[in-house]
Amino acid sequence: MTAHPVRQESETTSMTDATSMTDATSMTETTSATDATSATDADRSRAADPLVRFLAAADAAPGRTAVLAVDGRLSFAELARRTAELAGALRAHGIGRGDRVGVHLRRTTDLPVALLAVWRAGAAYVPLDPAYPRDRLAFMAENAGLALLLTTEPGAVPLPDGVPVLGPDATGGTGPDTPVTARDAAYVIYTSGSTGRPKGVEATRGGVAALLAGLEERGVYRPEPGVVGWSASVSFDASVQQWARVCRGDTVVVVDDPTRTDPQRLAALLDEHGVTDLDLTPSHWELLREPLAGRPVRLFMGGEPVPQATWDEIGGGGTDALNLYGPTECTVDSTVARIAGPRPHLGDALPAVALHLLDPALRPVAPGATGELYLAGPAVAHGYVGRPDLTAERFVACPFVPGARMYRTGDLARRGPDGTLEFAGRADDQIKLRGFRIEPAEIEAALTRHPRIREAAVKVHEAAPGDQRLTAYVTVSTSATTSGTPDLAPDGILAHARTLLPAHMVPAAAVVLDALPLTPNGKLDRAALRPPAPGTTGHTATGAALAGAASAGAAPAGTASAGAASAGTDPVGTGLAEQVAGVWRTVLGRDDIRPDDDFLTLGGHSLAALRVIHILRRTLGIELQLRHLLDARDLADFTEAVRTAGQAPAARRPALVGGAAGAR
Amino acid sequence: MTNPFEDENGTYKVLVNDENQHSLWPAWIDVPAGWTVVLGDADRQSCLAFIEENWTDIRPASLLAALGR
Repeated sequence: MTAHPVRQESETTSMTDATSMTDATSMTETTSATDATSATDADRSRAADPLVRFLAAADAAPGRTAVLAVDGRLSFAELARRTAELAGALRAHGIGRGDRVGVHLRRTTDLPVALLAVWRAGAAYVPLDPAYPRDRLAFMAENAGLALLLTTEPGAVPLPDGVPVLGPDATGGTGPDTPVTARDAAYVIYTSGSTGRPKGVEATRGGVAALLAGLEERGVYRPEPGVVGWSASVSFDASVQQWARVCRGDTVVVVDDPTRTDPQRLAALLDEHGVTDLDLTPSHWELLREPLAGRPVRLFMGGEPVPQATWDEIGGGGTDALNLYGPTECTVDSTVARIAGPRPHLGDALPAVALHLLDPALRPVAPGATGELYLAGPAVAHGYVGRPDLTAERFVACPFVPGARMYRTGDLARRGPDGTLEFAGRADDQIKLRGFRIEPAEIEAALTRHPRIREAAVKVHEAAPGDQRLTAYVTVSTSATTSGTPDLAPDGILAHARTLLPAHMVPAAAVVLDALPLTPNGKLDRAALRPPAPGTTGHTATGAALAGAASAGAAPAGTASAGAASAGTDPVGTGLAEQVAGVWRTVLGRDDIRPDDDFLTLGGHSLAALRVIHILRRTLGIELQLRHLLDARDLADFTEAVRTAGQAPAARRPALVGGAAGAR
Repeated sequence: MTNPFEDENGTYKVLVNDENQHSLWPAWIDVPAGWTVVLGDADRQSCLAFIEENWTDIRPASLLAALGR
């Protein structure tokens, strides 16, 4: 605890990616003055290691609350003590610099303890989300070469032989923190991979330091300690911008998933703890605007482009909100803009980020022209663990700084008339779905691991603004292409996907086709993949039908769970039941809803669930919570819950505050 | 817009810097300062295969040296 965890500061100046960034920016200044950044070596030396900052914060205000979660609260002094003890236990097991430690924990106070303790032991953490399929966790554990796993559920993560497992309460002799350099790894976070497997991005302690310092310098963080809502899963790097703020003395409030997507619980949480900063995606704004608009909380929007309408609404409404952009490969955030003014934009680069807009010959584009965005500087990650080939494709030689690398984002952008950066789409197939970055090829590869699936394609359809649905299109191998077979019903396809993919990558619907549509030069014609028509069932026969409006729906013909009902019948009944079923039909975009249908099985996701609750609250004037839907077995069960809620006037708003407090 | 690193039929080089970091590089674009050509010109697949074989740990050489690996 007394040792300085960062030694050889001078090493940062000799780092290849970090050298002479001023040279890099002077190159781009020839095309656009605003490409210039102030990424000098002096800036970087100001970016203290997050652990140094944490210890200083703990010394300065030991009694201040560091972490609040469902299981309680930790002061800075308690967090410092617990992380020192766990780091001691890690060291006693031989963990040190260069090691990667798996963290498989629920969202309690144990989680930040584990993350910080791994850093104090000199190692990098690898988040292993307990909600992920075992197969995927096994792949990540193997790919990252875990030296140890921190978990309360031994056996939940399949591990290679000989990898020790510790609980987050483990203690060992406390000693000085293991010194590291800015080049040491901070974490490995997996992103969707176009080769069919997730890619582990290894980011550095120096990158995290530059992120915190850069956001401070841009005025994104207020100087005084704030109260930060930690809403993102630790499996996504947005979480780093949230939890690592404890290192600068902010209080971090762990927001659990039910609260994150429930407007009233969220409002209660913000009030109860005086949350000053909250991350969310533009998709979430659609549903959370009521509790958030006009509230004294700064919103950090990220994960996907902000639509014009959302931009106007937030900017025009005086809500304090920022638009943050950045790939995981450059340590969370690369640019920031205040949400204000006429057009959505990305603003400009953070201080330590060098940003290049290049043409296909890797020359800076003319002012105002669209180019591909390349990022350089100390926040650039090492690359993809165990994938030197993919690393060498994306982290490429930088023409502007000798020996340095730049990350090729695949994002297209241009400079607006005022010099701010505007997003202009993707150069490849990567998609953003409710803020999640997804390579369609990874889902397609997972689908074709099913022995009966020959080819697969996925596409996002937007049924309504903010209502995005991922649909899988597959063709069947061998001869069984003319009729639906039980093991290749759409439900079976989706069940297969759930065994391999995290929830956000599982399609909401599946369509069996005889052939995937192709362009004249033989490539997949994604434009010809039409949204499944609501209420239709089963299986289409030809590519021609596919290109028409009436392609197949999500429901398998002849299975018990869905799909057999025709649109003309009313299997639910009338009155309240019909009203509730009608909302399901609207939100899920299908007509074939039956009383024994399960919302999630029909492709409902958490935002869709929230929309159902929203509509029913408004139209029926009753108090409903998200859990009423998520806990319901099926439509009939949910209808009963709605009926009960409607008969209980006492259950209006005050009850929800109690729920939110419990969920804290 | 065609990205110069994504041409399946293109000709490439493999570059290496002082940190033993490898980069795929389009053969028709000048090699940036600070990088040495270790393979080229070759097709894209050959370059990627060379990288997989010769760059076994993506971490910078200075860090690996400090870790004693």
